Amino acid sequence: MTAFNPPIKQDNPDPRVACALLLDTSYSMRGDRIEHLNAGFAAFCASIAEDPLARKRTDVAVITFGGTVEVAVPFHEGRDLTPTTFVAQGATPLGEALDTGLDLLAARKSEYKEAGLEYFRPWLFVITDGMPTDEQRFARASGRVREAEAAKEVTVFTVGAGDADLEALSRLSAVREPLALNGVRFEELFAWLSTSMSVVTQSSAFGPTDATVAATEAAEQVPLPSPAGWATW
Amino acid sequence: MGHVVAAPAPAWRLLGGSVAGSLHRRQGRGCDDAFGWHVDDAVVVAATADGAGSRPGTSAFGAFTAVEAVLAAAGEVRDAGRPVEWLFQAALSAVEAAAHGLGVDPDLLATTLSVVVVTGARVEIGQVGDGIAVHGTGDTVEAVAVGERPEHVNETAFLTTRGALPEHLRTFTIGADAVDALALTTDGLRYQVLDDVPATRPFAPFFQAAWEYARDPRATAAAVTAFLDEIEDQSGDDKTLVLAVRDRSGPAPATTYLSPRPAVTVPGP
Repeated sequence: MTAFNPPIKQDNPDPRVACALLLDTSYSMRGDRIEHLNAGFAAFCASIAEDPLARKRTDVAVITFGGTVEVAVPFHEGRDLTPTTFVAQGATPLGEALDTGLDLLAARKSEYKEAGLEYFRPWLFVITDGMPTDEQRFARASGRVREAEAAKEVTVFTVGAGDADLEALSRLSAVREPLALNGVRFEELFAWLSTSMSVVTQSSAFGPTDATVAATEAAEQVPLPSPAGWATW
Repeated sequence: MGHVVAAPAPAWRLLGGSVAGSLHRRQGRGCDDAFGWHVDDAVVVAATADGAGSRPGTSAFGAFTAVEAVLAAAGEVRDAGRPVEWLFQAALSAVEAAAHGLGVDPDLLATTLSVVVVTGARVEIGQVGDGIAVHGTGDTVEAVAVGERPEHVNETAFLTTRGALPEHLRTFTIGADAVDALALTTDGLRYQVLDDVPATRPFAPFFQAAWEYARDPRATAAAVTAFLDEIEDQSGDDKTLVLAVRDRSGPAPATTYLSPRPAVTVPGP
C-alpha cells in the first residue's frame, strides 16, 4: 500500500471557551475561606495549563468583588494562566461584578468573531459567601444575566459558601440552582471546574455564532462531572 | 436550451474514504457521513453527505439515502438540462420517501449534500450545507459553491430544510477543460484542509498532494482511510474525503461506489 500523507494545515487556531470567574473577596472571606480559595485557584491554573486541549482552548478572566470590583486577571489563555493571591476586604458589590463579567465576555466574543475563531458557549462562574451589597445594581445585573442565559449567550454557574444568600444567587439562572459549597472545599470546587473545562474543550459543542453553538450543544449534551464531592443542593 | 447531448467524458479516477470522528467514537456513535460515485463513459458523478449531528440515530440514514439517490440518478443525468438541480431534487425526493417509510419527519433525516457532475463539456458542483468542494488545475486550487456564511444563519442548511431547494443550493459551473482535479469533503476536516476556516479558503498544499497521490495507479482507498483515521482532528467530527482526478491515460472502466448503509434507530415517541 502506498502511503497517503498529504501536508495538512497545522496552525488553524482552536475554538475557545471563555470563562469569567467572579470571585467574592469581601471581608467575610478572610481566614480559611480566602486561603482555600487561593489554593484552589492555584491548582486550577496548574490543571488547565497541563491539559493538552484546555490549555489552548480555555480563556480565563478573574473578576474580584471585595470592596471594589477589579479585573484581577484579564483574559489569558489557559497555558499562560498563573496563580494570583487574592486578599479579602470590604463589601460585596456582586451586581457590579456581574456587569463587568458580562461586558468582558461580550467583548471577548467579539474578538473571537473578528479573528474568525469558533467558540464554545462562554461560562460565567460566580462564587460568593455573602449577599450582594449593591442591591439595586444587583437587581438590574441579575436581569441582564438571566437575559443572556435565555439568549444562550452564556452558561451560568453559582456557588454559595458559608452564609451566602442562595436565594439571591438563584435569581441568576433559570437553568441551574445555586450549589452550596461544603465547608471550605474550594480546592475540590476548582478541581471540578478544571475537569469541566477539560470536558467542554474535548466536545464539539462549538461554532461561529451563538445559535450554531446552541445547536451543537443541544445535539451533544456534554456531560459535566458531578459536583457531589464539594457541593450540596 | 433544453436537451443537452453530452460529449463523451474523459476518464477520471476516483478515490475516497470516511471515518467516524474521535468524538463520535468516544460516544459510541458511528459515522454520520456518506459518500459515493458513479463513473460511466459519459458522466462522472460524486457525492458526499453529512448527517446532522443533532439527529443521532437517523441522520446517517438521511446522508446515505441522499448519496444513494444521487448515484441512482447519475446514469440519466446526461439528459437533464440542469443536472445538479435535478440530482438534488432526486436526493430530496428519496429522503422524503425514506422518512415516510420510517414514519418519521423528514427533518430527522437532515443531511448536507455536496455533488459534482462532470460531463464532456462542463463541471458542475452543487452544495446544500457546510461541505467543502474544491476544484483545481495547475496552481489553481479553489473552493466553490460555498454555503452561506454561518454568521448569518441559525443552523447549517440541510437538504430537508424547508425551501432548501432552490434557496440554499449553491452551484458552480465551469468548462470541463479548465478542471483537472476535484475534491469533496465534509466539515469534519475543515481545520486540516482549509487555510482560512471562516473564509473557506483551501490549504492548497493538501489538495495538490492529495490529487498527485490519486493520480498514482498504486493509490488505495485503504491508505486514504488510514490517513483520515490517524490525523489529529480539532473538530472531533466525522471525516470524509473524495478525490477525483482526470486520467489522461485513456477511458476508465464504468464504476460505482457507495459507502455502507448505516443502521437506523428511530427515537421513541
